[in-house]
Amino acid sequence: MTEISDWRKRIERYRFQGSECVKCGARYYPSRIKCIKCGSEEMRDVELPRRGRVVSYTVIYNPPKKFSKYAPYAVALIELEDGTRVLGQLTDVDFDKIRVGMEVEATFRKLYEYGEDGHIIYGTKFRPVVS
Amino acid sequence: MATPVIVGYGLTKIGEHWKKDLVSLGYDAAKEALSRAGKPDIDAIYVGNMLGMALDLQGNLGGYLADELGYPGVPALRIEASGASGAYSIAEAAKAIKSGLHDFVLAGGVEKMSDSLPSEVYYALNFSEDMYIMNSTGLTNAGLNAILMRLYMERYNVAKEKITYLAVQDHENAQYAPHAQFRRPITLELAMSSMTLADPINLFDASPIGDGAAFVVMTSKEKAKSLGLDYVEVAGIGISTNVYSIVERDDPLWFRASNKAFSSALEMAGASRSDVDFLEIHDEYTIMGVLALESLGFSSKGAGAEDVWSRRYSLKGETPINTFGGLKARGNPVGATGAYQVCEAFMQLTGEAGENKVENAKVGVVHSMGGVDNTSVVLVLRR
Repeated sequence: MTEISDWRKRIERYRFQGSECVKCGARYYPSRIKCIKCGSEEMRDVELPRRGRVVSYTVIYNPPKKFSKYAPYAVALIELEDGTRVLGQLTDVDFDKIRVGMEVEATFRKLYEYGEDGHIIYGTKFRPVVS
Repeated sequence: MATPVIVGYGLTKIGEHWKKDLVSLGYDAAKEALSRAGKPDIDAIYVGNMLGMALDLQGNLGGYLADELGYPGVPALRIEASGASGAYSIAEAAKAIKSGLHDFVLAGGVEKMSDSLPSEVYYALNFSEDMYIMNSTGLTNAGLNAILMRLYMERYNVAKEKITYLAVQDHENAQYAPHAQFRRPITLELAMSSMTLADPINLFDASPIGDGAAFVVMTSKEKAKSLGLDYVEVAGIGISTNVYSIVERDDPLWFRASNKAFSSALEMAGASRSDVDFLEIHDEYTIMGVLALESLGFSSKGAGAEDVWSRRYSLKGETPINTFGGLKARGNPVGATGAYQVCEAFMQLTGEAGENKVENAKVGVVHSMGGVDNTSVVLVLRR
């Protein structure tokens, strides 16, 4: 993944946009060119539901260099309200309060940056829903 | 079609080889394999390697190794399928023998990891997954496995101790393995209290960083017989790929590629699960080992950890696994690991396993994965 390929993915990341199969309705995030459920190549962009539940999660203590200044941080497998599954960082949460089944919502956040003079990469993270 | 057989193996001890580089490590193991096979003329070379381009900044490894070994002119190829590279190269060699195209093939793998900083190694190991997802989330291989481990613990209500116990058993088996990286037993307490990499995965749930090379020489059964060489048959070959990202799999805890590769390999060998006397499985993380046992059908879903805990898979158990310590204790020099597993299966089947001997072993299975079941290779070896 290069700085240019981060740029190429900016819209998907900013809008939390995936792809949907026009034929069978399967949804993917990140987007796919071809539906692996039915084989159709007829795909359209879709903005994904912004709420979901934590299926499983981890807290990373041994991060890649790019993420080292943010560690420790939590990453979760999340099932959105439409059933689409995504991976994303959890934010604004105490690690000991994370639970499987916890309701979360998408939020626009900084993901990482390319040094002092490089791009700042933004995208989607998830925070607990405050009822 | 010809029946592919292994007639010689060679491996280096896994660890920190400060005086060796990628190619000289490969040279040592290949030379040992060639010498055990009676120094035949080699028709082709396949070398499994994952990190050479990322860490050693060396590509075109096949040609480089062929030249170093003194076989310039021989077709030679580097095969990369992450952690399955070594097993994949042996599978390709078996196909070349089966087809009748080649008489003698040298195949295995080599990896040099300790020259690089651990942070660089861990980052490069992520390349076995979808790097867009890894880079968007800050996930690591350990993190991905941690998500699977928690899912497993929650779904089946299993205590982490029962999963981590696989690391304890691996260390127990590595004690008498001269080539193993860690030849000392550990306690469950030590494994459980080691530093956290990605909660709930501890350091001792993870396979270590190490350098190593392992090779085998393969030929046809007919050739081996006519030359009076001792051999082990590669009776079954299975290779399969899974949906790349765990988020899109119907069940992230089911290794579909491993299951399919194993079925194909058994079918080719004309064997059944009950014929298998021991298994060398890919436990890069303890949870991976448990999920592999379930996906290959030796344990039922949700029972893998319990079966490990009850020592069903110990050296003296019903079906021994990782008889020389597995990826955790023998070590995991990524692109060479599958080749180590094949060498170990050969040693078991030819009665060269010493203290680690599985009694009356006739059929052994090697299971090797690239990433979390992204690419899986299964080989059925038969005496």
